[in-house]
Amino acid sequence: METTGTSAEVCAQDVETLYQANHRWLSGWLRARLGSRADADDLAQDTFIRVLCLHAGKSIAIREPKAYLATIAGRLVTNFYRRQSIERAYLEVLATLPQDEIPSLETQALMREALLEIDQMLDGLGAKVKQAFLLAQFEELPYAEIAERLGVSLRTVKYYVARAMVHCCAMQESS
Amino acid sequence: MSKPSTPIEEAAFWYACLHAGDATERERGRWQQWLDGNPANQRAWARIQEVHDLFARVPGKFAAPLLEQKKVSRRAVLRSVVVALGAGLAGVETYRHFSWHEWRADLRTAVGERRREVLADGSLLYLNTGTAVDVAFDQDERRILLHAGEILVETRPDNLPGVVRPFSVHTPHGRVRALGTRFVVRLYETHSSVQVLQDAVEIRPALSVARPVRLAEGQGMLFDRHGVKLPQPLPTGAGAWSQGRLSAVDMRLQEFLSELARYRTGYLGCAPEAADLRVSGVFPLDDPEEALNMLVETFPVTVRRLTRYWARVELRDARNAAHS
Repeated sequence: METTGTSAEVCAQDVETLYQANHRWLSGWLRARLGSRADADDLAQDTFIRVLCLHAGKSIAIREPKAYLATIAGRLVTNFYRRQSIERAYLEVLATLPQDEIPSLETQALMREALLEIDQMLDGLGAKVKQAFLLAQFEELPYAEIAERLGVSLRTVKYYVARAMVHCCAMQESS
Repeated sequence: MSKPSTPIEEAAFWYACLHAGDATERERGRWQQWLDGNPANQRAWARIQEVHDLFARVPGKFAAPLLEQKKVSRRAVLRSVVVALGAGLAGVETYRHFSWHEWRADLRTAVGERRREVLADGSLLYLNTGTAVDVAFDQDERRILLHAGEILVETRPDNLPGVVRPFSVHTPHGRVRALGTRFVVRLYETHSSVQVLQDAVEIRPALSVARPVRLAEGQGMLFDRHGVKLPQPLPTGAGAWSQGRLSAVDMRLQEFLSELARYRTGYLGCAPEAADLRVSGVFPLDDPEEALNMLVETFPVTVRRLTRYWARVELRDARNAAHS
């Protein structure tokens, strides 16, 4: 990102003003949605970091700061719950493994991270594309079988997988 | 994929071709040509490979939560766990014809022991560590009296033709009536707790004249003889003990150890400076020592043992102990 020193400064100052004026309000808004003060404070912080990143190098002119912050924070809240439910579901699956297949905590942590990262990468893919891609990656099914399951042609499955791959690469780059 | 243009799009196209399961030698040769033709293609291929490797880190059976669209419903997850559980229970039907009449049993588990019982009506009763119950079934009702510890009940429809006998669990603090199929009741010194894994239950505290309180799936509630507390969402892994697992998400170490201590004879303590470490993961309950080893492998902690019956988890290097 090419920015000059001065514009970055201006920008940081804008965000600081935004922060000063709205931080308390945002924390309260988040607490009402999350129930936990600590989680709310974390996400409030993340929201401002988000704003800072979105506006790196550009001066901010926001007409409705509260609506704007609520939009960004709302997205973070959705992600937060999504993350939590994935973690929970993951642990539930883990809990059904036979005793001697329970991986070490470190492996568990790596798998959980990979799972969350994958989930983020897949965000925005259509349901069918996603399903085809996950069947290919996780079940390692021949594409012909995936085609049969989804009721589409083999060509379409290849197209789905390729499209999902391009999407994942793009998502990885942007994060 | 009619006209791939960027190197990434081309790489993705090749990836799909080569992994489809029907790639020919000729195709492989053409891919190799494409790859060797241009450094940009090689970079693109490496990035595709990175994504591929990320997936390879997660075994297939963990993919299920990803398939759910935006919201993963806890109900669905529970249902899949229940299905997995049900698969092991094919023998239940044969017990149906046992004499259910005035069937009564005293069941107990020692510390560290867990037990699964099929009751006369085909219902399942899991006893957790250090648990004592009486099973009292008669003409009119199916009752379980919980004297100590924790049980998970999985009810079956009553097998007495024409009659539906209510099914309930009684503790010194009140009565929990099953309106559904799967729930956990645990007895503490001053109160009892209920966790509903499927359907619903109705709670009536012993000395309360109010209407019984209904508790729905996915919720837990504490009650004592006088009343109930507010319902709370179930913690992760509620009831997982019946499968021999302890699961934790961001659980304070101290809390984790006191939970683990239930399955182990002797004292298991936690040094105050280690109390706030956060533990996430699934641990085997049949082998609490193994669970402790898993902790030691992952966290900067060590287990100090004085006798067989006394152990305390401490920070590995107390001098570097930082209060966080």
